[in-house]
Amino acid sequence: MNKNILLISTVILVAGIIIWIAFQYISNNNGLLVNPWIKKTTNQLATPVPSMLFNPPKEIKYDSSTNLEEELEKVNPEVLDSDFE
Amino acid sequence: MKKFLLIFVVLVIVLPATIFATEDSLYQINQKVSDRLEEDTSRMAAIMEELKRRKGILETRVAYGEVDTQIKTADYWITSAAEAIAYQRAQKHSSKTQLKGSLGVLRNKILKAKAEVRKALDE
Repeated sequence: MNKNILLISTVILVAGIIIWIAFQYISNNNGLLVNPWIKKTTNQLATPVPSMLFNPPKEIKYDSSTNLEEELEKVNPEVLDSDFE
Repeated sequence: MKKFLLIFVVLVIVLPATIFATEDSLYQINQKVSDRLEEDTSRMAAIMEELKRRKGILETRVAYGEVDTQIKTADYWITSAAEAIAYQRAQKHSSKTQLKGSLGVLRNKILKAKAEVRKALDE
């Protein structure tokens, strides 16, 4: 009986892993259920724009009327506890 | 025996999901704080650009061993802080404590750059 339970659990686990891998593969192909071994047709989707890994910093420019000391006072690097919540 | 087996199966399914979720949230926190610190670095770089423009300094080439003016020193430390932020972004952290520690070190580098920029402005 214990062997049967172990066998069933293992089968379920392996099946779950296979299904997960299959979904990963499908999502990488933009949801298309296309057999990779068949030559693709010319009717292909456009290459997706790569997502930015991070936000580029704002460009800051000053002119002769800027009080540079005041701007330097705005530089206040802090690591807050609220960042980790 | 059945209970242990059930617990084992649940752990195998639930535990990896929990670990991946934690790593992902630490990554997000790291990027968010790095964005904020990068803004400070950009601000300091813009201050130095404007200062050099006002003093008529056209170019500052900061090379190893040639940091001989306060402006060059400030530029060196700003560059160093920017590189540290880029390095921080690429790091993976396994715990909040570790992430907090490394962000604290990064913060100190930016404060050092700020002190050097202040000296350059005071000249």
